[in-house]
Amino acid sequence: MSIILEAVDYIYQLGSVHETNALKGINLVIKEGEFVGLIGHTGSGKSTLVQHINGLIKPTKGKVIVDDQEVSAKRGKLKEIRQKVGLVFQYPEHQLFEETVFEDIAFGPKNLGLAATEIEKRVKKALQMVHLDYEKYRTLSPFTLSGGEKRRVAIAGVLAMDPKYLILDEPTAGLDPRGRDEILAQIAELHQQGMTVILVSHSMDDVARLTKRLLVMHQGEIIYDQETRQVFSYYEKLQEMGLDIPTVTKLMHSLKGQGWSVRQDVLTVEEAKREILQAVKQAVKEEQSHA
Amino acid sequence: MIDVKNLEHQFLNPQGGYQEALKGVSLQIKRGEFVAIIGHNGSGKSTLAKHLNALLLPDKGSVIVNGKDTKASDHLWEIRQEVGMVFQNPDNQLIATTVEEDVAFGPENLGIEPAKIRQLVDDALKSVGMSEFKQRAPHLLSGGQKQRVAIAGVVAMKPNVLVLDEPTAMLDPLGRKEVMETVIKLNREEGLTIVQITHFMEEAVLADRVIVMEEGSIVMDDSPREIFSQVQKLKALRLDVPPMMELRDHLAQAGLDLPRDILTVEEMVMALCR
Repeated sequence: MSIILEAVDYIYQLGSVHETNALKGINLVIKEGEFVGLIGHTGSGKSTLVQHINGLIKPTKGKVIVDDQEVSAKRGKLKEIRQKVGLVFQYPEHQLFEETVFEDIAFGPKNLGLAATEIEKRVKKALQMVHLDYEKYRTLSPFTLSGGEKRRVAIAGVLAMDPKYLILDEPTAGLDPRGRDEILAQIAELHQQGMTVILVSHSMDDVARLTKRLLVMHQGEIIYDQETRQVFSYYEKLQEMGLDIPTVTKLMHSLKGQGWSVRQDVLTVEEAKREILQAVKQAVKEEQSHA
Repeated sequence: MIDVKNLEHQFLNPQGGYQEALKGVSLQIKRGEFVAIIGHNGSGKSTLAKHLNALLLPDKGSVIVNGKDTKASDHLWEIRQEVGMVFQNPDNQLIATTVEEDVAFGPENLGIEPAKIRQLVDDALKSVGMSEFKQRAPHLLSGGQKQRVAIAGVVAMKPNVLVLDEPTAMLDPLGRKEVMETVIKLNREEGLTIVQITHFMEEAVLADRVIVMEEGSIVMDDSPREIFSQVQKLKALRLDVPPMMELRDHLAQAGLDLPRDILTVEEMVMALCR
């Protein structure tokens, strides 16, 4: 089971003077259980791409298939697909509207026509997944919560639909470091429990830490679709596209430029430490053998 | 320039009780300084910022701006003209249909004559690098451009102090860079005093001085080098540590002899290549 995009083109405002080719010939397969990062400059087509996956936008050309169902078909089973593919937008807390946390999370499951006991079960489970205490939060108004809590409630609303695929569009934007770490840890946990996750992000450090596979978009095209580690070794190319690389990766490139023999596909502080210590040890050994 | 003494502030919380947002904060900010305030949501950063231009008034203690007490209501408008505020979301701060009209809104309300307003608007737009966009509609600009227009709107009021509350939180990396370059330029070239609240440590590193807030109190107040070299303390507060500082800490523990204040990749390369 998987998400498949075949030669997808999307043109905004087709036929007008504002015609913009937002996606150009996108081919992509995402398999169940993967954790995929998606990066790119603002306007590169990231959000347009993910909105195709649950049928919010239909391609101008090409096909989008989720688990053997064609999302892009004229009579696609959109309700089913949208339940299967949960999409968490940027600033999802702007979409909170109910009087209590319970009602807000229950909104989706209610619309599925589920029984009251099943709805309660779903709300409980969703709150548990985002580490908010059911008894404490269920009666509170979502508008009295902190920014990080609101965002978790909004994500719980998507999780309550019991999706198989979860797409998050910059889920940590605007949060403080603690809120960000909590959300990222929860996403990693959901993935470990078997959820397929697509993470759209501007933070190279976040995708470096979490994802194994990374897509890079630029001007409506997928430029790279490789192992995350591999992608960040294209330092110059990424910079040309206005993208950054993780700080420690930058350090390794600079050290290499100074003649150090270190790997350049380093993503975390721990890896950098190991590489540097090894290089220093090596240098000391060579000095001793020369002496 | 700004003198905050034993400032206390309480909020009514939704459960009906009182919550102490500021617990006796004291702080002096000198003219021309660039101060970054970091800390978690709920630590009191924004409450403190709102006291600096009398959007909030002290429950106890005092805030003196350029010799004027914020509690004395006859100075209110002078203080607000002198200390300009820029907030997180540029979309909530732009109101007019063209960039120049938006920037003119503040000076117009001060009752300044039109020719002078023209001059103030042109100067303000120039100082944020947005002159060529003056006839454009604000909603068609990028996030970074919008925020620069919002800053110009405040600069046109000729303030001495610019208080920015997470001005880059909703921007992409390019927009963040644009705004930070603008803020630094206003500080260095126009001599504006800057107080910036941020969650991005790479922005705090650019300041002359970093203040760390936690639960309504100032817990650290020093140069960025001193603050960020205290890796363990920052981690205990669950704040971000710049990656090079963290790496330096790891390498030092493993026995490498490195200076204790390495902030940037360049400094790390230099230290390692000695």
